[in-house]
Amino acid sequence: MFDDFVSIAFNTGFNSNYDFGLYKYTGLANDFGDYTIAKIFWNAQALSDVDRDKWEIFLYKL
Amino acid sequence: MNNKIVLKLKTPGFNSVEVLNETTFSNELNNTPPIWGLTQIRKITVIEDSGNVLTPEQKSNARLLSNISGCGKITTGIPPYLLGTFNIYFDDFRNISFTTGFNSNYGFGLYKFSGIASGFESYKLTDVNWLSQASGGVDFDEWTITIYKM
Repeated sequence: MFDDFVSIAFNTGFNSNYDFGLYKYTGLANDFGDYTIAKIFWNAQALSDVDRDKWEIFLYKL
Repeated sequence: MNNKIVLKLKTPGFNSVEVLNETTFSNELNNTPPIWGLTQIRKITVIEDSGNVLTPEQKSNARLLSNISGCGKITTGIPPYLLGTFNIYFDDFRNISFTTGFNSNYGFGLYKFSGIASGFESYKLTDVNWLSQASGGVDFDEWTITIYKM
């Protein structure tokens, strides 16, 4: 969510004991003009309170 | 009907007396934060159906189904952020869904969502323009839905 109008949404399911790793999702972008489909790469690597996950998001025009 | 279908709709606004609301607010349990949730059902009036794709029954039974859940600590009766899944429902086989996040004190305005149409054959990707302008119990929101052939 960037504000009340602009956001990217995706849904998935997973085990409650899910692993760290590179997750690849397909989502929909809201209010990015003609760019509607989103590819989302979520590198879930955080092991402690100070670690950070890394994200790459690509929006596509159809 | 060519490469797109255009639907124009009208629904009661968020606070309309016609809206069926059901709010969930759980008690804290074993230090688990309470869950805040809201579902709504709003009757849809179909103003325009460019491809004449909807049956009279689907037009009559059309509803906006909302499932909204809270994110964050509840301090003023509602969490600061909300997640909403919305479904423009025509029947159990034919509907349009979209998902978004927003502040609990969101403003009125023109929201532009991307959605997925189900049961419209090869018409799938959907632009949803929701003009949320209702501030009173008798106001209406206006919708323009464009479904594209893939």
